[in-house]
Amino acid sequence: MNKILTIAMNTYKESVRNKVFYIILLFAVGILLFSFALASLALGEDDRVIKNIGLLSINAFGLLIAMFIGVNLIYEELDKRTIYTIIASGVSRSEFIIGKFLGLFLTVVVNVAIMGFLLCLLIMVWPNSSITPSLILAMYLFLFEMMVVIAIALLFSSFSTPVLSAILTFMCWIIGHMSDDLWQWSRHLLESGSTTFAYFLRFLYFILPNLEIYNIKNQVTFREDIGSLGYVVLLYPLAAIAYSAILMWITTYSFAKRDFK
Amino acid sequence: MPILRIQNLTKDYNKGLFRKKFRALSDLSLSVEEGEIFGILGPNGAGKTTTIKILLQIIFPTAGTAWLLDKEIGDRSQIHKIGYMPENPYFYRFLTGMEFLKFYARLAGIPAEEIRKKAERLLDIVGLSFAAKTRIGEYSKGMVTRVGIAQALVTDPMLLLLDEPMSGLDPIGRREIRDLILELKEEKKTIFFCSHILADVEMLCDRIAILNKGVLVEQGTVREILAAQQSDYIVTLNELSPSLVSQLQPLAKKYEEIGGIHHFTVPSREEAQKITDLAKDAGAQLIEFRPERKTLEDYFVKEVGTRE
Repeated sequence: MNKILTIAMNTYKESVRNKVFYIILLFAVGILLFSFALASLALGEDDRVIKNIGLLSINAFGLLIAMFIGVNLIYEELDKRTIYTIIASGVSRSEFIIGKFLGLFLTVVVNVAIMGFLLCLLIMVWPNSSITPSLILAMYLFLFEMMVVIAIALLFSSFSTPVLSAILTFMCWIIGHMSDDLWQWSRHLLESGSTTFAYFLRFLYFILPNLEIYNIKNQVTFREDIGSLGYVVLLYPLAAIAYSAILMWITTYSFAKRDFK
Repeated sequence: MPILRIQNLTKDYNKGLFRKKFRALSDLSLSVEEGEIFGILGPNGAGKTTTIKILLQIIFPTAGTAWLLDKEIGDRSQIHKIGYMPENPYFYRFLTGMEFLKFYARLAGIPAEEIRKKAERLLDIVGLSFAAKTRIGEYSKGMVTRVGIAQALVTDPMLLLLDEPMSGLDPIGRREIRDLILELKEEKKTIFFCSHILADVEMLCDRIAILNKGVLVEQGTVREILAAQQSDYIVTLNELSPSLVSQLQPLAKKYEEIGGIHHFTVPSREEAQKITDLAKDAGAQLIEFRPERKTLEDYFVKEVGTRE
């Protein structure tokens, strides 16, 4: 466990010392402040504008960090051969992968915490707006969406280039948000007789995670019901942890007997 | 009991689009005794780095095996007694020298209260105390090599595997690393290093192995390897008449006259003696009679160069 935590802390240090992290954070803070300006123009809708743009920017920039640092993380270790001395220090390949995953997740948590804190500050100073439990829950769920995205990015990064990994991860993210549509689409195709493509869509539906369950932005913005609290607080996060664990297992398995040239 | 034993180690890679088999290391067997400096010598692509990477399980052998500190590779229970520095090391640029060594100390499970002291001592050993708070990204190549060696020493290992430790360094940097390796030998550490810099190997190693295209060409002490080579003899004479020079010249493989001193190179001791006797009979003065000193470079060029 000590080795995993050491790798995780080093990965976190590496991420937060990366200029990309600060550029993304700066942009995100800029957009949060911009939501302030937009809110003043949206008469009667100011609370919705601040919360919607705020949550959107936390989600989007958190994903950018998860995706772009994630796809480079393992590739760079292999490319720069920094992994050699780590393996020679007695760290197993699975400890290395898990440490990298936890380190990047910690980076994302810190990023969401900073931006979430800023958003709450903005809401507190805005006269017609208030912090609601669902707002905090929305940010809590983002973390688990990002956990899955990091696991996907690391899996691709362990065997392909950063550009290809980024494209594949982005595609998985898009499809993950269209999970319900995939099911409906495949149903229509089956009814019309196009079975091959319908089964392909069903296959995607079953192997890719439903990321839309981690998105309650609209419910928060329009003050709608967010559904069962048990699902939101416990079941959905547990599903993300289980899915990420499976991906991590596949990544470590593919890594276990690989030659690092 | 050897501290490192390699037995019939073979490594194949599949290269290119059609996964064509390429043998990087072929049936290598050798052993290294405790406390010695053992050098693996060979041109680029000889299989030196492949050997070290197999020993550390960075890559896996196609056939054969090895034992480090009496444990077969794959059994990682003794890994903390082994230090390693890769070729052209590229370490985490975002860490300072101190943070870098603390990171490896933590990985090695060194107690938290000892880590700082340990890192400071190692930086002192490799002469980098002044750069403890400087990021590795700002280090010169020589400094990176030195911090790499410090990293390899974090666990106070019995065996050090150094891959091209002097590569790319200027003469002063090379001298510093050479001195450091000799100091480590005095501390009874076993050093297994590979290099293609012949002078360094000749100067440092108790024993060497020469690899070429993945095949072991020779192993032994430098003296043993050179002694097995047939040596030319040099006869240096003074006060030779032009007629005597023309009489002796056909007997020599090579003849040179520098400042009135005549140098004859002949392939055997008997022929050297014949030239000496003839010169003495004619009243010439014998200055020197000696076998030509062969260097590792001569051997390397002859043995490895001709196999290209």
